[in-house]
Amino acid sequence: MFSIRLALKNLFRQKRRNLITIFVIAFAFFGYLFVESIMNGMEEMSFDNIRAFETGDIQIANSEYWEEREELPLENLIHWNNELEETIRQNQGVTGVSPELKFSANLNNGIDEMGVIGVGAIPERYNEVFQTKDYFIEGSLSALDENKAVIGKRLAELMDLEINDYIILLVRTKEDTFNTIDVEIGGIIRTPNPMLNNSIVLLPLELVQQRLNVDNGITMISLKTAPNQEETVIHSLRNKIDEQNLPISVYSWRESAANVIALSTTKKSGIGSIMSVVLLIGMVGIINNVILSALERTSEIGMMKAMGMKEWEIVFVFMVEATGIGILGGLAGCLLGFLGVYWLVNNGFYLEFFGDWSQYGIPIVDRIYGVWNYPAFGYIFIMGVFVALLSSIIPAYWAAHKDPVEAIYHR
Amino acid sequence: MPLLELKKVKKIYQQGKIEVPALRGVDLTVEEGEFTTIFGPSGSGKTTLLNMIGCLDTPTEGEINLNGNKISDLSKKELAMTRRYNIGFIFQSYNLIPVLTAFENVEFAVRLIGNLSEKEMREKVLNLLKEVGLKGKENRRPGELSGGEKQRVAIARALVKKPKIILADEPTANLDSETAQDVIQIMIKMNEELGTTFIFSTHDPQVMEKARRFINLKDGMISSDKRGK
Repeated sequence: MFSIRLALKNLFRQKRRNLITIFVIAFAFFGYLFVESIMNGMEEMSFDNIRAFETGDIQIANSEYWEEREELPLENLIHWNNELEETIRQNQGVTGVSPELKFSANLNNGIDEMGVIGVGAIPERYNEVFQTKDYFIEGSLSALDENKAVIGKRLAELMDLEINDYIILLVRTKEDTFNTIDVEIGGIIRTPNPMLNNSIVLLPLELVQQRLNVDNGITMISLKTAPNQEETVIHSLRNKIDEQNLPISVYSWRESAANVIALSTTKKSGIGSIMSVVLLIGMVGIINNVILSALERTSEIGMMKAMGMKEWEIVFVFMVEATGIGILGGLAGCLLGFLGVYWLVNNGFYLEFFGDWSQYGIPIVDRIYGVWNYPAFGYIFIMGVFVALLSSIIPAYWAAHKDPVEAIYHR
Repeated sequence: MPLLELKKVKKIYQQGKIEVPALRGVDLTVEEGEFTTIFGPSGSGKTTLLNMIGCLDTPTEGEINLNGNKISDLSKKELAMTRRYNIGFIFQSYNLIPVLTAFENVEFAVRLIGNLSEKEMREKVLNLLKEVGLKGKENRRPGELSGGEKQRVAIARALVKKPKIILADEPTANLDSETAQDVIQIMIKMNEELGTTFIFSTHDPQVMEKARRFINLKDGMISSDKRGK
């Protein structure tokens, strides 16, 4: 107990140096907690945006189409009819069913041309699954009922288009012949999903089916499920499809968003690297602190040895002191981190300030918000204290191992 | 049986390829309760001899027996335990812990022994601080004490564990002559009242004359060993 008291008193000995070490550790902890909160927030927002605007909770497609879906082929389509819709809707937990026909097209405004993704949809059904209706700047999704198109704001800006302008979509039919879709713009959207803003043109499903010559063919069906029902619905749908021997497969939104999830895995290793750097900073700070303390207290260490203190007792004093610095640095870091994450969660910051992140595959625009990860506070604190304790052992042992005569007389 | 016995103790330091003898075969016997001074010119081996007796260093040759134990054969850990229970040290530059109060500096030594209750320990430390003239200054840190007062704390720290022997290397070297006399008087008082054996080195003739045994060390050997009144 006396050794602990001595170590704690020693904490106030070199106030400035200890404060600097505590500040360095605190700042490193703060950096970790802040970045971790942003990255988790980014992941959560990315996933939310994908589900709310791109995939829904579940997607149904022909398995061969699924393999080539990035190419947007018009082969291996699903034949959409009331019977199929009924089969899907009968599953408990399904709250929305939206058939889609995705295709590649060239958008022409009369002057310029640019590659886009066309999506044929039924407005009522589309609204059951996606949140797009809440993000109209002009017009509404009912424009599709009037054989009009809906495009993203960014795309409108790029192509210098406004509401009520006419566009021509140059498409290839199922037979690989060229055709055009001439439509008026009936709505402009600006969603938190950059893909929808930049490169999607929403069109009436029937019109698209007719121009692509695919009869009642659709590329995919997106489903919305009741909260936490995703797995149950997937399981029951798969059973039903197997029973009826239908040529389609069921996919979770995670399979659709594999690229973003891969990005999330990279994020985890990134966070691990940041954690390593943070702990390394703490380690260097503590080692430096213990070595300087030992050098300053050489004759004191000699006196302790003369009084009969064993080496491990002297090591213990230094270790408690280092751990004290680790605890104070950790607490200060967690406090700073709390304030930083609180600000991030409540205010967020403008992502555009740092450029267009959608080009890196991160489906977020506007503000990015942090999320609370309370275990991270405990984890980094415990790890920090543990590293402080461990990193003090070698320099403390070096100090305690000094020859008593040399230490007393500072030779 | 004498408290301390040195037989043909030699200490040779290696400086590169050169061997520097610090002690050239010292024979010495000290009985319990003696008040002994070791004097001699700088480089005569006084500090080396005190370090050997204090179990801080081991001889190159020869044998040292303290309280019946052959300390030249002890391991590092055993030497530490011998120092903890049997030897008190008083250093020229006090070597007090600056963050601890006078009370805590003395308490530190008792805690290492750890055989007293909280109340006993407190009483013992306070009594000893009173004995060395530091009543009322128990809660002062070394930075708030004069040189003489610091050395009194160091004396109390050395005495509190009731060691067999107290070794003091130039205990008055950093003090003015008046304070040096005060400090040596406290050492004499403690020697007489508690019967603790003191061996101290000094250059100061006024301090030296207070001893009852005078060992003159010259070139690593005892050149004279006289007893006073």
